[in-house]
Amino acid sequence: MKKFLFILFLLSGTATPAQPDSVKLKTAMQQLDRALIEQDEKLLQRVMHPDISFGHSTGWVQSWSDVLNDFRTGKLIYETLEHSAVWIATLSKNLATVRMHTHATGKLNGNPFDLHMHVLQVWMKTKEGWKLWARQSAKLQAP
Amino acid sequence: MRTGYIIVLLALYCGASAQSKEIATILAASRELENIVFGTKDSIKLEKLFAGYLTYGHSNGKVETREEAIRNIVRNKSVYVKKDTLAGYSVIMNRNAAVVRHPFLALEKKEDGTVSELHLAIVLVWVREKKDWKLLARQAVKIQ
Repeated sequence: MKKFLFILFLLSGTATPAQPDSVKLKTAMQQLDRALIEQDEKLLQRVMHPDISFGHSTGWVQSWSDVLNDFRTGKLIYETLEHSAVWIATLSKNLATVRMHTHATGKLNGNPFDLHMHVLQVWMKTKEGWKLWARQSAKLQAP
Repeated sequence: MRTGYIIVLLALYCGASAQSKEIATILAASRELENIVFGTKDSIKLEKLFAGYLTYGHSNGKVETREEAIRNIVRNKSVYVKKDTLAGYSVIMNRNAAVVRHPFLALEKKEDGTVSELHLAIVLVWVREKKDWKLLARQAVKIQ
């Protein structure tokens, strides 16, 4: 009986337990980009953890209320976000660390910026799905 | 009052609740890490503090694995003379994870004799594995 069940499991072709989570995580990452660029507050709330610490490459760290405030006042606007070398460094049941290279353009206080940075994202799984819990970017020289 | 958000300047150990104890532990580990990385370079202690899947990020974007980080910390011939900063350590803890942010300001005396000021903002991501807190990710940013 055990052999039968084992063979059935092999043939079932189900993904390993980790995969559905990594797909959900990738979706959340895409939603984050969309929320930032489209200034979609509802979507942003869905993918950002209320305890978030959002660190910029200048050392400036924003809390959730800071991020929301800047959204509403138009202080920080993202126009493009291009990621490369994205890798999920760690993925556990409720915590993931992701690293990537990001090329971001936009405006801060009306002044345009064009930055290449290395980004560390820490995602936490909640009842509502994966949420960005911490983030830190470090400036890179443009390639 | 945001759930799970506590700011602790230097180590204010109140010992009242379980969470306070955890935060004190995390702060102590963070301080210890700073003293090791920029001081004693004790690889045995690093082995205990670092999680298996640690990614250790430098301010220039270079990311090291656990083994690479330990090796390079030990190999680093620079001597650091720490300077005081006004800002302290901040901790945000949520269940079995914590993120610590702190500045690091020091004079770096390199192997070649050059001396320069090093000013970093450091982010430490700690996870609780069974009863111990281990470093899962680290990122440094250069502050101009």
